[in-house]
Amino acid sequence: MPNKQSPDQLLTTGEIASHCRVTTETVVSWIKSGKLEACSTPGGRYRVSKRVCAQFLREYGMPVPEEWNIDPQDVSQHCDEEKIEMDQVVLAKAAIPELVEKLKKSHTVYAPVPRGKFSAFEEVRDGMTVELDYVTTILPPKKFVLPPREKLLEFSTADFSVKEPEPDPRPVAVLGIHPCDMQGILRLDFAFRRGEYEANYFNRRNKILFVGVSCNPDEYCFCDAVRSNNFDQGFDVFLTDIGQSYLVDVLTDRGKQVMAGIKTQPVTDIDRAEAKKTQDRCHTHPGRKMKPEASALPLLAKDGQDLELWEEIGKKCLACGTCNLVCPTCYCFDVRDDLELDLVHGKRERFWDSCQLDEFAQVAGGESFRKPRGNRQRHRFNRKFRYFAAEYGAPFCVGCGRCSRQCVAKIDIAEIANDLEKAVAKL
Amino acid sequence: MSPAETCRCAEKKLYVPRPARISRAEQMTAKEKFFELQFVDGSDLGHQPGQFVEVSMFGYGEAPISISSSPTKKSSFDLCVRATGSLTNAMHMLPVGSMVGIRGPFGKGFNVNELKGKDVLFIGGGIGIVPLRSLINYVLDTREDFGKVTILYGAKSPAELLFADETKAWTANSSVDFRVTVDRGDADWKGHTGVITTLISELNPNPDTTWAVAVGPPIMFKFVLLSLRSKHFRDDHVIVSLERRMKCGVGKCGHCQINSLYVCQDGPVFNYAQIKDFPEAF
Repeated sequence: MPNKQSPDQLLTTGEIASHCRVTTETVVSWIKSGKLEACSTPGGRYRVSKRVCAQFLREYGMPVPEEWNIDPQDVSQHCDEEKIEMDQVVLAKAAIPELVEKLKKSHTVYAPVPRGKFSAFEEVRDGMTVELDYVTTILPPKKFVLPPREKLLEFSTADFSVKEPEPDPRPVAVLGIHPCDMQGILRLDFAFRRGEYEANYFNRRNKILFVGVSCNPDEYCFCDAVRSNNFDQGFDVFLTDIGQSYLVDVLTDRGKQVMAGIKTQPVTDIDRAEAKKTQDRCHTHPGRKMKPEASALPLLAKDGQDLELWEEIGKKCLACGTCNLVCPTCYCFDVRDDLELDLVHGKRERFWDSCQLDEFAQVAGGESFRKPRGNRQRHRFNRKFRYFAAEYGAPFCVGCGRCSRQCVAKIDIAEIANDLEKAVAKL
Repeated sequence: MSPAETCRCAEKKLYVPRPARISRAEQMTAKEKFFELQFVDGSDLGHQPGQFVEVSMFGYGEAPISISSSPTKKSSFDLCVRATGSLTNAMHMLPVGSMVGIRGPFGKGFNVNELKGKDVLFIGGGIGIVPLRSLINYVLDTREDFGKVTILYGAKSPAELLFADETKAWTANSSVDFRVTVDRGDADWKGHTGVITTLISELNPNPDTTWAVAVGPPIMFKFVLLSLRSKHFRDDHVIVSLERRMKCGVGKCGHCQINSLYVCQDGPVFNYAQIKDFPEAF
């Protein structure tokens, strides 16, 4: 028997990144620099054999997971393209309602529905209303992992008892998530794992099934500049628009269960070529570009921290906080108690908050540590491109463009980056 | 395996407070009240000097409060609370025996090992004496581990001076140089008058062996830091503790951030050298 390698002997860049606690981008850079040997799927995604990866980890003194430690004699180190194809199928667009109805039997399903110029993720009552071909949603899907208002505790002042809320037993499926928005959720994962692991967040988040879809870039988004156009990280299933159908990547076991029993067609080379064209739109769309390299932004933000530019932006800013609310990676929150009329029972809840509001950094004595609006804008910019960037290995901005698209004062984060680069060059 | 699933190890209940009972309470000034608390289950708080807790009153919410007692005091701990918001005002009304919730201790306290064998200059302004007291009492309880100990304490007026009994004992203690000042005296005030920096200028500390520990309002830091510099203190020999708005205490809510640092995790105690280039620090 030729020692053909089954797909489960292959690791995705995401799996390796997760193990090594680095970003997918870092793993890709290892591959590109030749440090880590990989093959590529017909759709252009990297796969690394467990054996090669284990060898690589040993070489660099990193721990090797038990299940990656495969006897080198057992498997070939080459990709088996036939087997990988089993993870890719073609699904007719007309079959989406059927997929939704199937999901609805076991999940509460959310998907984009048109709302004025944009769309909104809403609970799907009827599979026919789902519109996966959309520009962007008003709010990102972070509302599923971090609800705008979330109960942390129930309490009683009578006996001083405290109860943590029971999670909703019915699992949630979110359909039609764009790659940038999924990257946003992965960054929230990092934030709620960093330092203290927050079980509240992960108990909800880990139960959600994520079905992604390729996007329609507009003039505001810039995922290519922040390298957040990753199509196979975080999703259970990913749909790439190829005209009348979707090329479906089944990326997890949960994803396999979703697709089981749904009528699909095998993938052809033409489908793959179409899919690549769709996915390349992120690079080729003539939208507004953030000019500095993502990797240059932390230093630009640092060198430019005293520039007058921030004061100028502060003059425009209305401090309404919309940019924070619509950001897929903003997660700062306020905590408030809500006492019932009996003055005995109540709940402690957290709410989305905004660093653009004056009282955000105000202490009991009344002192506010980020009084000028320009300083608050500078803080937002630094949170996106500098403070967490080094630790996470990529910007905390995913380039979705929502903050710029929805800013009443027309403050554009990509333009801030461009202006900053120019101003720092003059220093 | 998604990145979210990598760390399921420590599912601590981050937001659940532990019940504690007020075992003693004493009005100290018009605005500040002293509370001694004991956990209902008898456990020890297990804190370091300089750390803080989130005090919880159901219906009012939570407030971050500095721990004022030294860890050498076991089975109970002290808080000194200024009535400024709804929770702190409500807490002032609580009779002895009442319950509050406690989360914590949180944050990085004073690194006592770093200070051992050194001369220590304490500088406390106003309510800044409250967190400082946790370290002062620790140093006094293990006095032989430290060199020369100087305590400077300033308040706006004599009526606002805290811990009157203890400061009397510090005055009487020959192993401590304790000096107090008020911005404005009253008819009965016979002591030093003037801002706290006037006390610093009286001293001649050895900058090689002395570490300064300063806690006070933002305006105090500006002048104290200038004053210490004029006494040739090295930046890394100056320790400060900073106040910020905090909601969670566990590095999530974002309110306490000073540039890239979370005061609730990386502080509230900082070495001045660590934060001097941070525009949002003072």
